[in-house]
Amino acid sequence: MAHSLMQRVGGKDQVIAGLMLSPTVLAAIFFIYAFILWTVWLSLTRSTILPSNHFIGLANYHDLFGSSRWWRSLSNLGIFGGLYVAISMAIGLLLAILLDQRIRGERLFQVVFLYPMAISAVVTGVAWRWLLDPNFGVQAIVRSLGFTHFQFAWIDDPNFAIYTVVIAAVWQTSGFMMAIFLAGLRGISPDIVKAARIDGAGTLRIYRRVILPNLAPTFFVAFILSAGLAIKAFGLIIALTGGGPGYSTNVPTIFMYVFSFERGEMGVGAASALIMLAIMMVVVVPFVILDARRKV
Amino acid sequence: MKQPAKRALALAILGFAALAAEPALADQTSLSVINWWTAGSEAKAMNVLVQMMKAQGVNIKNDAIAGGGGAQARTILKTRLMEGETPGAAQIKGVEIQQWGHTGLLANVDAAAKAGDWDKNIPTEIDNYMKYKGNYVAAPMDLHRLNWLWYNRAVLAKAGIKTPPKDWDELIADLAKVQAKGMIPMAGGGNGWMIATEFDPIALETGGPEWYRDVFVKLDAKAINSPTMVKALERLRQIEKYTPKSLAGRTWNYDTGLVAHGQAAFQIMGDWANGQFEFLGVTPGGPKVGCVAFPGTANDFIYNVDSFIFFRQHSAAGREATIKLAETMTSPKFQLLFNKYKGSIPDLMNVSLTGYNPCQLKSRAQFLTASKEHNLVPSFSQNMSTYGPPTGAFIDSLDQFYTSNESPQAAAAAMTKRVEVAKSQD
Repeated sequence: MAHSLMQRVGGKDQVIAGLMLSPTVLAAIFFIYAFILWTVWLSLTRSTILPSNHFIGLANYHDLFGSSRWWRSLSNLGIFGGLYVAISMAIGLLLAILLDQRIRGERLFQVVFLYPMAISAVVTGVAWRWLLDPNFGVQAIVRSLGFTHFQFAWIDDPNFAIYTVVIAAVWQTSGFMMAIFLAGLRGISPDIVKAARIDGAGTLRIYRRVILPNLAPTFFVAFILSAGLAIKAFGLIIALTGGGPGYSTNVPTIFMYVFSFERGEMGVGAASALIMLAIMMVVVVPFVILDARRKV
Repeated sequence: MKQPAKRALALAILGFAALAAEPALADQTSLSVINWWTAGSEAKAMNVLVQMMKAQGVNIKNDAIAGGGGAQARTILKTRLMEGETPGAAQIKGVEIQQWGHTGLLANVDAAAKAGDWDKNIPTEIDNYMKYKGNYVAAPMDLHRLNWLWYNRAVLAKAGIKTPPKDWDELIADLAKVQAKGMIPMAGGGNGWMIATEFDPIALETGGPEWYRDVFVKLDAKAINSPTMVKALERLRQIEKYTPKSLAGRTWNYDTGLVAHGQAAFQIMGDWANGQFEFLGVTPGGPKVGCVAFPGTANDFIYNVDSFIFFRQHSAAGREATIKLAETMTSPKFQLLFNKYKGSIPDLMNVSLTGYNPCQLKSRAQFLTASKEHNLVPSFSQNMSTYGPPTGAFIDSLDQFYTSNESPQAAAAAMTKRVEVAKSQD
């Protein structure tokens, strides 16, 4: 019996592999999918300070989308996510191209650029809070140099505070983007480049027509990773602005935390968590499908 | 499996079983108390509670979880409950106590209330929060007053102000005088909680206790969307103009420091600022820093009461320990010590406040007169007037108004709408 099972699934190695993986698979099913289902259920109930099973349909979603704080969170995610993904990828690509010129001390630069990624989001947030603070940071320093009318107080301005989050997040992950793009650049065969050069293409043209198109899978990875980081961002914003001034730098993660745990509106919090999941899927799924098609 | 390996495995399993069993044995007379009093004097006072309970043979585990406002502590409390690990007591206050009462998890501590004669010694207004369906399920620890204006005497003197302001116009005139001298008139702003805490006395001053209760307790749409609210919001806007913008993101105790060190003239804050001033080495009501009832609210008292709810224990020893804990928390000895450090006053009206600072003595006197004249109101900003969602709706609206160019009329309308939505979530 055991023997035939082994044969059916393809030998002893596969059974062992299956057995070794099964705890992970079970844990994933339980801790990820079961909890997603539970969150779906919670979002349809009148859960306040504790989970409850009182079914109320879609009322929580109605309240969620009637809340201007939620709309602000969504638009902030759009501003922050869009700028952060675009800028960190652009800077990462630029740094990678510069580093790819076989320069001296390449290793040192790699370490220096990657270092911010090794610092926790909270430390990054606190450090940037002081840097951006008009009384101690950039504004104070420039003013002390004699430019007494220099203004840079974005962090205190509800309309601009979200951009300070972009600055800090870009600073933290551009080096990581650089590492991804550098790996992609190194994966392109030098022969193709040489061939293009023999055909008489200039450096700019080689990058535009040969190297960048070959980097498409790398762009895909960098996009998925940075979009994921943007949607999940929480610690950095809490440490940098605390979600303020007011709630002007709230994003869905902060909204979810505040409503689930501080406000005692767990149902609304669960609904917002599911909208976040949906956003994540909207961003990621088309790329995954595209990628799968390419491989087939 | 070979014999020695089997034996080792059996031993290991036994070992784990023994490890798992041990805490259960030790837990019988120990209670965990979840709170967010991690800072200086508050932590010290909690340690006194631990010592006092130890003397009665009860081992208290002081589960102090950092994070003002208690969001983290509440998250941990919920996690523990979902894991089936019931704590002894948790720091929960105001209307939320009723929500916890609905869960059926709370212990009845009527025995402690009877022993301490809470009905007689603790004012009815406070007592009512502690009861769920007629039984005591919680015990109060302190009594805070919110409608205070703290000021630095030296700064006022420099601006040519002889006496602290008594009404709104005087306050605004004084703020302008301080600003003209190039000093910070009002330390404040920051997050939504701080804005709401400042708005609390402004609203009371503008509309009086009756209107305040209609808005924040009864959540009456007509009272919220009213000219009085518009006027109160206009006044908040006036205060905002005298609050430096760059103080956003700071904490209330930072602001208290500005007043203590003579960098700012005024701060609107509850009397937990007392504790911070003392910590900074300046006694409020002393030669450097003064306290006065927020202009126009001298006869009123906006109160905030911190309390602990008790959870039903499985063992008889646990239940007995819970009663002892509730008794000790409301004992004169503990309340006098705890509140002296915290800047508040004891909930017990039958103890004399020896060694308390002048502001605290004033607080007690004004509580008693306000209570007689029905001028006591529960603080909305401290979650005392209603449950979470409407409180959040008020705070969000004020936050939005304060940090934008929204007109007071639009803000009052938006507030009404938000509160209506939140009301449906009860």
